[in-house]
Amino acid sequence: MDKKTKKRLTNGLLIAGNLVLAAFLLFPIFYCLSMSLMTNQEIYAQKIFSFSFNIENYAKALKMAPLFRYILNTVIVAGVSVVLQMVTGTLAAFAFSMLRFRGRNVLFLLFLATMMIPGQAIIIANYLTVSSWNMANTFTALILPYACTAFAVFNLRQGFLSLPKELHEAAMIDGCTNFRYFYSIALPLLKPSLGALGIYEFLQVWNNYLWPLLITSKTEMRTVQIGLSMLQDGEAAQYGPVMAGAMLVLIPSIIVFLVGQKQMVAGLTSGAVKG
Amino acid sequence: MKFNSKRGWRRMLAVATAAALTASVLTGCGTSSSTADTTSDTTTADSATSTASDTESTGSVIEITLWHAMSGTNGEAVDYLVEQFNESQSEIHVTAEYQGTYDDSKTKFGAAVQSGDVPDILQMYEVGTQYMIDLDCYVPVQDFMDANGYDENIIEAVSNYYTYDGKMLSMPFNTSTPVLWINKDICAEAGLDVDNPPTTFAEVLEWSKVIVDGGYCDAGFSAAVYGWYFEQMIAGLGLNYGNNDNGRTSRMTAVEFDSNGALNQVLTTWKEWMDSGYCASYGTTTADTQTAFKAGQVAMILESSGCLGTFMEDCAFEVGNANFPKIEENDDGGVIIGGASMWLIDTGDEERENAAYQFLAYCSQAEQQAYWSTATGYLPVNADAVDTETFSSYAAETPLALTAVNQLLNNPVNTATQGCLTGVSSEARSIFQDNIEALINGQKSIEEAEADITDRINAAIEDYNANNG
Amino acid sequence: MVQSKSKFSKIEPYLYLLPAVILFGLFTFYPFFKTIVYSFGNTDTAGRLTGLAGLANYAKLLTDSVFLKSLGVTVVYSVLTVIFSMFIGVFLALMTSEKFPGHKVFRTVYALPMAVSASAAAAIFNFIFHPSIGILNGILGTKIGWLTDSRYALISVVIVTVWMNIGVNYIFALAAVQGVPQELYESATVDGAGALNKSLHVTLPCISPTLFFLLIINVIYAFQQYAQVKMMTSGGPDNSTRVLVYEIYEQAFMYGKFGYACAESVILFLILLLLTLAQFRLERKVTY
Repeated sequence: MDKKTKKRLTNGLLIAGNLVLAAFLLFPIFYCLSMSLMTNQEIYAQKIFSFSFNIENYAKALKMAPLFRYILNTVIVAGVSVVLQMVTGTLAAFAFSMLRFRGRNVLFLLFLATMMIPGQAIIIANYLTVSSWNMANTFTALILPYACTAFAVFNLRQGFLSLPKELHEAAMIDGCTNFRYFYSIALPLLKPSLGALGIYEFLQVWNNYLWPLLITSKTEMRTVQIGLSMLQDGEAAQYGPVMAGAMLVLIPSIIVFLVGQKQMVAGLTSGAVKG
Repeated sequence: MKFNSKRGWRRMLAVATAAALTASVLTGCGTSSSTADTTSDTTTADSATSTASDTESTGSVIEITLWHAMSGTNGEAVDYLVEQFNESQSEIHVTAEYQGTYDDSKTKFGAAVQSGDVPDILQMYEVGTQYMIDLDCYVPVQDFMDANGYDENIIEAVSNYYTYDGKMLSMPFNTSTPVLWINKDICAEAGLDVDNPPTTFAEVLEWSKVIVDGGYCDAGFSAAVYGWYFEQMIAGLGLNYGNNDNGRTSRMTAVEFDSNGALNQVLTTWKEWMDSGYCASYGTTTADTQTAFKAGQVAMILESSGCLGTFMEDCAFEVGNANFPKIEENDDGGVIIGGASMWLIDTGDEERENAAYQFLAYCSQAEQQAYWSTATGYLPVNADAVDTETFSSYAAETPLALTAVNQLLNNPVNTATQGCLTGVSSEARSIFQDNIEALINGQKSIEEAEADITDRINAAIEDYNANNG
Repeated sequence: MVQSKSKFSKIEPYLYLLPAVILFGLFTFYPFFKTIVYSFGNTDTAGRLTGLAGLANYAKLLTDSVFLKSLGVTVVYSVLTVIFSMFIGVFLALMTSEKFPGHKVFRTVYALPMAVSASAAAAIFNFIFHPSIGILNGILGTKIGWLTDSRYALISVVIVTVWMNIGVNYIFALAAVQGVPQELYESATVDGAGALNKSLHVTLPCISPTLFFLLIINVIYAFQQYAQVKMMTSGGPDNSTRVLVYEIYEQAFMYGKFGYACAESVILFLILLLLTLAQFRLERKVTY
């Protein structure tokens, strides 16, 4: 009996606490949604919420920029980028954490170093490189520079390192090749990490503005962030459509979360240690 | 221990093949840019970008690419103009491509010049004129105007800005001027004569005093901390920003606003506003000042004439406007135009350049400028546009539109209002903004700000000139 | 006994690294090498190299008060964003690691800020922070210029950054917390540990590799994010929010001074490198 009420109390506290935190965290997004449904006049009248549910802003936003096309483009670009990052990242991370070879530490530091280089310093050079291959305005050009990130390598390395050493040793004794171990045993254990990584990397590519702007000129190849910038009039601020655009662009991201979250379900490691 | 290396290789191969397949699929998807001509290094143009839709295989339609920075409703208006032009004839087909904000498209263009993927027409903001001159990648539009017998009536104050060494370099496209925006409701309530708005900043301050003291509004006046206003206030004094006639007769090598006293007057005036207690400052983001105005938190603001549309739509009160105030009345003082112009890029292909010119000439015609102006709130660059049916009916409905037009038509034409021609505008505006903020916060005195602005802008100009031409 | 390893196993590790190395080489090291070269030279307004000038750019940096100020701003900004982003992210992960009704909803909610791009976040917060019609002032009853007063601007930008980064910290912390073996908790309960104790003595040590990872990432990103600054304060007021990476952006893309921006980039890189090396040294001593 006691345990049950204790559990109820804990649950209650957790729900209450989380509600408060979530309210704070969600407020800006809620405000964005609210503004997207108000007329400009209401926005300037400092209303936080209006019952008029005006969807005019969404119509305006879609008229000013072909957002659905851009969303499709960006889903493709981000999706493929993430897959490639997983492939290149897991391979490299596995090598850094599980294999011994000369220059391992130096190479790892070099990989990390790529994250320390300010993007703006290299973006023009990359534009010139890709342009010289005549690949401007292609999906490949949008994806290639993001096909591998040190972030993924680093994160996955930490993940592999946290797997028990005995697992690898046991597999070796059983005659398993490195690659087999990597592919059939280690990788599945990292599902929570891969889920989190997938979400994160997808959103990173999703939020890219400058690179797509430089490497594409044609409207059909543009991505969402460029679309959002098309909603903002140069001289005058139009908050309504901008917020509407932001909300529209948010929807695919939420879908990605839900998909990625499934991978993050607990309790996958415990089985492996025993087996 | 058995290392089954064969298995290992096979797996590797599988992964590699998969990657290669993905890559080949990707290069198949999406439209790839056509191969660039390799006739010359720096100014090679991409052979025209083809749109899937309507080009017949006659091969005689000339494809023109236009890079612009117009977003929102302005972007839609550009698309309309392009559509109209394409439909009005069948030899030339223009494709308009949005390239981000003015700053972003300028960056992109700089990179494009290096890669050779340049467009035929580029929209560049007014302060990028020296930049274009130094990139030396354009053909002066004057050349084509002369060859084609151009005879439109471009407003002199506008064409003057884009003229260098006697030649008009680019075709003005979207023009604005700064104006004083007024919340008529508040001012009328305070008993002020809204039909005779302030013409000097001193008067603006007087009005603000009445408004704030009477409790009609929290703030009487506000100007975003924006370098553009700084340049305008100097022009309002009829004085030059920099030497060599504002950089118009030969390259600007130093500023003149220190020696002719203009800087001191601007800083003093600005400080007066902020010390009076009747004015507010909403920072450097112009949108924030607009927000305050729209919300009725401040009665008068400085802003571009281009805000007409959005103010009419979003303000819950009656909006009024007036000419940009001056620091002191004088006949030589006026405003400098803002906005952007269209540049013909040197692609080495005279046929394409001429075709591109045709589009620019089309856009500058009275009827097109009337449409453009009524659709976007920019001012028509063609004086005859004011007389068109389109514009007259618009002006009858929206008399506020005439204020800026008249300000432009009556603007004195001299080097002060021609505007400074320098490659360091962005940096200079930043330096000015830094100092105004320091001045407002009491961290610097006027003398210190003057010295800092003068020295740093001069240093920037020297640095620029050393590296460019 | 097998004495010699097969040829394959010697080069095997390098094969795993090959795709990454090629991509990094092309898209990061090669351009960075160019950046280093440009930092020693002068560039024209389009960004092309016009000539080499030795250490001229670096010498100028040492006397550039704006650059030096930006270094200070960057330090303060980084410390604040790293501490708060990590702390809040981990705290939220602990709050939602247990199964309770609605925990799945909260998990999605807490990761949501990540999906909002910097430009959208900046637009929203610009509104919230507006001095006269912003909600924040409305609720607090103040008239503070959150983005226009040099005393508050940096804190406001920090708040926005922390808000944006909580999501990242959260999802990785959550993934790590999920990975803590149940047996450890069970044995802790047997030892009579309460919830707080369990968090402090079981969870935190077990996720310390992830915590270390988050620390490195947060520091690196504190030095790399500039979109918020660009859209909310443009480095002002009075350069109080001019983080180094924004300064680089302005020099390169707004003033057209690429050589100078490259020199600043190299400095940024070196600072980050030193910081990261220091953190790795620390890891060996601290990680469980």
